[in-house]
Amino acid sequence: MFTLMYTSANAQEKKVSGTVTDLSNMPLPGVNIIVKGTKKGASTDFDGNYSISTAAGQTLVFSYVGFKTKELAVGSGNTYNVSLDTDNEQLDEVVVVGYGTQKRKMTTGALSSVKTDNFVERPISRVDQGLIGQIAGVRVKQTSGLPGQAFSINIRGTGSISAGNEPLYVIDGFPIHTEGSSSSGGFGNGSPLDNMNPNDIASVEILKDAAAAAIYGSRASNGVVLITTKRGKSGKAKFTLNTYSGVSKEAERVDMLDAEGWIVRAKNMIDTQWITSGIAGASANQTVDERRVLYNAAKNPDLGPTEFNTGFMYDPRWDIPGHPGLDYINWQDVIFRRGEFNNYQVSASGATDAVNYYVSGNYQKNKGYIIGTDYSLYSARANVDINLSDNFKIGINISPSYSIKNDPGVEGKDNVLHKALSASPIFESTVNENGEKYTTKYAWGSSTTNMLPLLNRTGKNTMFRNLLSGYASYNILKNLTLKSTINFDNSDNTTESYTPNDVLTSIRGGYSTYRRQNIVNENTLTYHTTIADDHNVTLLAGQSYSAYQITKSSLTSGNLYNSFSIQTLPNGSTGYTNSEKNVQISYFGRLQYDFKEKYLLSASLRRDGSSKFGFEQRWGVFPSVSLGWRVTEEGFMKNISWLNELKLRGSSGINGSNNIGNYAAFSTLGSYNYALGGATGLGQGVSGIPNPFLHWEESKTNDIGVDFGLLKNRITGVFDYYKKTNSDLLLQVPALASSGYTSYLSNVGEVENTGWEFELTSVNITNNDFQWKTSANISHNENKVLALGPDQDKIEIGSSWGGGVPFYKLEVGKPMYTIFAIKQDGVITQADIDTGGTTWGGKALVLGDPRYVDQNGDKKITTDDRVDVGNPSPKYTWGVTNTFKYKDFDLNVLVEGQNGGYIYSLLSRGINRTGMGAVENNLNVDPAVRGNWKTNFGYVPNTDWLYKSDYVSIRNITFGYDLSKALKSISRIDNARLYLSLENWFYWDNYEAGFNPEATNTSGSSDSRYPVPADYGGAPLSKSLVVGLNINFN
Amino acid sequence: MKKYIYIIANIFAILVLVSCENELNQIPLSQGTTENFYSTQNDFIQARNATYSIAFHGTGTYGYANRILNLSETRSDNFYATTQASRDWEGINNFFTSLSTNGYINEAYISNYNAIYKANQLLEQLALKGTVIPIVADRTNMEAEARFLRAFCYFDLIRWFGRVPLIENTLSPQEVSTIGRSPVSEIYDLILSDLQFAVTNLAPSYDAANFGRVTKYGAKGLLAMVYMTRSSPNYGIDGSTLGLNEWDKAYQQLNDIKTSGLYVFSPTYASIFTVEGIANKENVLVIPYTQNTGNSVGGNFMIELGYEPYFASLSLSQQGSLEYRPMSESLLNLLSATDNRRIFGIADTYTVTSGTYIGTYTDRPTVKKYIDKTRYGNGREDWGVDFIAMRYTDVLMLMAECTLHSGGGTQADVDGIVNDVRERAGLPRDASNVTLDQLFEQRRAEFFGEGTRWFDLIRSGNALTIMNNWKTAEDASNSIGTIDKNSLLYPLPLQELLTVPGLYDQNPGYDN
Repeated sequence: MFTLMYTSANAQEKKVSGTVTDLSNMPLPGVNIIVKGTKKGASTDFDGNYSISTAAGQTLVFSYVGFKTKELAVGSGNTYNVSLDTDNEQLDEVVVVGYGTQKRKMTTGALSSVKTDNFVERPISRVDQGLIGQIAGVRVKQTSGLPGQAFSINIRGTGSISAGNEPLYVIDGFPIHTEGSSSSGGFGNGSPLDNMNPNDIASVEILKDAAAAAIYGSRASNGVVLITTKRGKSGKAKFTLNTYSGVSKEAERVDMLDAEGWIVRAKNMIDTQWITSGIAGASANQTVDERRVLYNAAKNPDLGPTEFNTGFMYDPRWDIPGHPGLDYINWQDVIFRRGEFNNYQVSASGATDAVNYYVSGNYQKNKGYIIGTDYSLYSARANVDINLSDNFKIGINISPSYSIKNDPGVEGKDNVLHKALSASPIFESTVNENGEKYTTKYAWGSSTTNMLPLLNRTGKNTMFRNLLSGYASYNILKNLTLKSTINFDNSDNTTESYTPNDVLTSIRGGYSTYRRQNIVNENTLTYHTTIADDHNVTLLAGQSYSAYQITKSSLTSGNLYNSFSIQTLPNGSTGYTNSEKNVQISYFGRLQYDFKEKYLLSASLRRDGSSKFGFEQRWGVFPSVSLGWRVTEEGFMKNISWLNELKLRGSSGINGSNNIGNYAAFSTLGSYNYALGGATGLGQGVSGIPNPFLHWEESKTNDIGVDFGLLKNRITGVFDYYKKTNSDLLLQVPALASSGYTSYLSNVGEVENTGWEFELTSVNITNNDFQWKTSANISHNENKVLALGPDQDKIEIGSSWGGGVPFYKLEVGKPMYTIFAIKQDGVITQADIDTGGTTWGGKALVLGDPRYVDQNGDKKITTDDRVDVGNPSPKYTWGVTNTFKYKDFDLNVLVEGQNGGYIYSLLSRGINRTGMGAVENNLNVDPAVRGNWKTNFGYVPNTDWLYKSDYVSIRNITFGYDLSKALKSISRIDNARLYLSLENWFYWDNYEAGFNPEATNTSGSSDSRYPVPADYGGAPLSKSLVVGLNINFN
Repeated sequence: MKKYIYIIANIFAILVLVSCENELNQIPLSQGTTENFYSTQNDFIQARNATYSIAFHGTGTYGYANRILNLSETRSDNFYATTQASRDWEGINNFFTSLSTNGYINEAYISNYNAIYKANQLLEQLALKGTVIPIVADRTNMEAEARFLRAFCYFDLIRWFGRVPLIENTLSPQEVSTIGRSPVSEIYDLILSDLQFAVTNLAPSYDAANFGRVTKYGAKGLLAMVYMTRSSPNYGIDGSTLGLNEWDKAYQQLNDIKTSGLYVFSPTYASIFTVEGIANKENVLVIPYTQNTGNSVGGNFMIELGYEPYFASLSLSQQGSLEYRPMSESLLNLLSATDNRRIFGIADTYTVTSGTYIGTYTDRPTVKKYIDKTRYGNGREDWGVDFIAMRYTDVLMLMAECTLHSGGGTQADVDGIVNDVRERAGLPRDASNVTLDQLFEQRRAEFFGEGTRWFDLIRSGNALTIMNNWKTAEDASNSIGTIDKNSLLYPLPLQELLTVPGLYDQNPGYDN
């Protein structure tokens, strides 16, 4: 479009063309060429060819990432072939650090960048999805396979027990308030990355150590994720179209017993119950009719000839070929379907001397692979920077978005996925008066009936979010810049639920909302100077004000609906609203210094006050210092030609965390109503023990690292070793119940994470036709509790899932949330019975019952027999990306995985429990492993729920074809690429009793004070086949 | 010049921000704080209601009623609920030795101490600021209510656990961590002095709007039960029964209730459970619930002994009682098919016509005396049915028990009471020379499903014999473990032993 402006013919103007290559004569596609001092630009095609209108005497500027920019004066010729020198200082790449940018080579903290090309080149629907497997030390957990769900991110392990472990997100300089994840693993009030369009992201930087993150001091103890969105590049307007479409299905199923297997198990149990019933004459091998006669003789009332006691008698139809009147059902077939999704994004960007703009719109639609689930997102973004004068610049970012998510209740206990596994696989084939099947409990089966009606319930979540940032920046002096920003994040969220009056339950509805608002104002002064040519100094001073408020409302009705067709809530529904607010004020400063870009120093100091803490100690001070030495800049290194870059780094600093309730320091009153006179007697009372001395939780990180580049930087790498100690934890300290409370919040306790991280990028092969590049990362983390409350070296976390028997603990010297359970090793044999002893609860040993290991040899099984069997944190996480390019084809393969962690699976409690009854369906396991008899011993949490969380996944394979050549004739198209992508096609794990080893949807500890998110039926990952198209045009 | 303006502007901005620091003083927007609490009479009333709420309704929807149905009724020979998959009641009914982590037992311990803390705080604040309540009698009545509730909770604690820490003031976690388990006799001293104060100072009755507050006679009922429990055989354990002979003191308190004229022996068995609120003259000590308020003052105790298909037969779904707790054969055999108490109290046969549980249920008899669909509110935790902790029939039968222990009254009184009870049940008035054993049998028939059975067994002195005989008769599958004197107390919650290691000893007979 803008080309129209330049059509006026100029006498001297001519067309100049040529090829741009690197020093090895390899063509360079995508090189930017501009005519210096004008807005005319072009770029090379896939073969490195360009053509541009210019005139003699003008200068062409060739620039390309990773290469030195070259200028060329146009003379009389029409063909200019250019070869660009590789930039040996490839690390000249600029990275975003807090409140500014810095050359990568000058950084002294542990900082990783994510290559965001990937966000466009494969079908990424969320920013967090694009981070999987990319960065050492960053564990990205896909805790749900449902569309639109947030991921969970842990940087360098988990160091906090009660105060959250999610990092701080900073989007275009705006630190987004996050409330952290809930004890069941989700973001109750939204994730900071919700509704963000990944195609808008220019770069993601992750600050891992205290020195890098310290400028965000408070709230940075779990690391910081800096997200920068795209801006226009100088030159005429560029347009992009990114679109993909695909189909999906569940990546994994759980291997449950089929109907025949279920019958074998049920018969076995029914026989056992019959024999031990105490009914006179009962013995095995009696027919149903024989049993009925004996039963009627012993009991009252009599069963008729078609009546059964299902505990003692089979369904005779099981043994009739073709099982007349019964349907055998695989419920997983019933609930899964083929998912479909589409994404369309268009953007326009460009820049003139006065204005720089990036505008985009995106539409995403995802029909989930589970019936009833879907997700749609409409989002737009406008980033505009305006140069008012040489010294004065203003800008604004606006990003409104609207999403609709439907989830009728799929994940978690007693929801559809759990029910689809545990429902008995046999139902009567009869049809009720409405023509519906499986609406009635099968007499021998579980109480779960057809799940399809559940999937037709309403569970609709809509979110309108608007992220706004504005700034003004003024150069007071040549080197002194004042910048003020004002940021506003507004999220309006509505959740509607409606349960029709169907066969499963009575009519119910709910309507809840939250409005989350975060305002941040920041003012910074930056001063940069170079003293005596060699001393580079950058000084930053700033202040920040952040206010956050959330207002919630909730309405429910159970019994006041007067119409089955109206889904909105009726008059007389009950509800409430609730508001909370917190304010944070901060002052910060930073010094960055280097001597000849050889010796590097960075130091920062931040002081933060938070309204969450007691008046006494609400201010915290967070210092950090880091040093770097670029060894390769030393004269004595110049002769080592294979070593291009070697930098040694060391850092130390303290970060904070205030992720606790907004009013924990107050002695708040709780509502304890009582029924008086047939009405409500309002009651209030102290709801917790206040602690006015609460202050910041601190994490101190020491980090040493090496950055290196070998063989002309064909191999680059980063290695870091760290020790991070969280102290003054905001910990719920157990109290004796006789105090009136069971715990109180206090700053005590210490947790240490130590580990190392290694990232390596290697250009393995590069020639004209074929290029192969590998990026790999691996990290190792060990977690250890160093201290707990006064005189306490252990907190056992009682859980309602195990009859109150604790199976997670916090113990000094051990990893956080160590799982300790009784071991089970097969079934009780006659030899065991002859040896004597009792099992759990003091019960006698019964042949065929599950056998627990008596660790202390006292001939009984008690909680003393629990042993440490693992912990939820993986020891190693890793990822490898291989990129191949052959002529116009490219292939990208991401493999990643983790090992060393354990899952204590609540879903296993539902489908693979020791001593499970006959009615529910059971995981398809060898009876010799679990014991196959209906037993009367008490259940105790044991290793039956324990699985390794290890997995290896080929997350993504993308096969691309560059269409630029094919579309060469269309001059408006700069380049185009068509791709085929396979997400989550290959996945290996040890988690037999679940769909996804990283799933979290339920509180594993069932105790919000000590949150351990766990899986009680989390959705499998989506396995998808996608076709996509990227087009850049002008 | 221009640049100086900017510098000045920036300095100014900083100054403004400093004044913003006042914004760090945020106070809760949707919750009150204790700073100004207890400054009006209404604050005190709310604090009193909160104390009732925790002592009676417990935390969440699980209260005293649920507790005794699980820990007393299900522990006793009235139920044979031994074989359901890993529910908390299984270990209770099976006499497991590993109960120290049981959720019901935890709840009993924690809720009672939470209520005691509330009562202690209310008493302390009454002493400090009680004068904001203008009428002295109101103030004294409130003090009496707080002391009653404290006694109620301590008595509940010693009945389940025996010795427990004695906390008479609000103390910090650090302070209580030095206080061990106190002898039962010392706890009784506090219970008796609290109840005597309550009996002296509580109003004899309230108007309809105050139905649900404890009266003088409710306190007398509890005091009588305290005396009777103290008088019951000790079994050689550190429990609440002391083997003292205070039957006469109990008799006196019960007789005061009878002679007050405020209570009526209900003419029909059904009306005891169907007449609501202040109109129900059987209510001596009642735990009130109200449905449909939206303020969480409904209950759900009927689901403890209920059964999902029975609720489904009433077109009530999803009550959360999927598993069936079978009533024992010996209880069912005790109640003839024509006994009004069986007709009203037990659903022998019920039919579900639509939904998941379609069918007729004949071999799943279910206790239904408290299940009243007309008082069902917004969901399964919003039933408005009151739970009667002590009813007038109980008072009369306890008097008879005292009489048979020579506490006062005559054999003719005893026979009269038993015959009244039999007559109302539709049985002939043919009891004479009723013995203690017969009286307890009649109590079992009258009060099944109301949570008294386990305590009756203990007071009878024959708890171990009766339970073991019953086990022999009904437990063919050998599900029930050893029942001995240690089974008469529950273990302290494991968490309490872990929190301050070594401070408390565990009750004998339990694994931890």
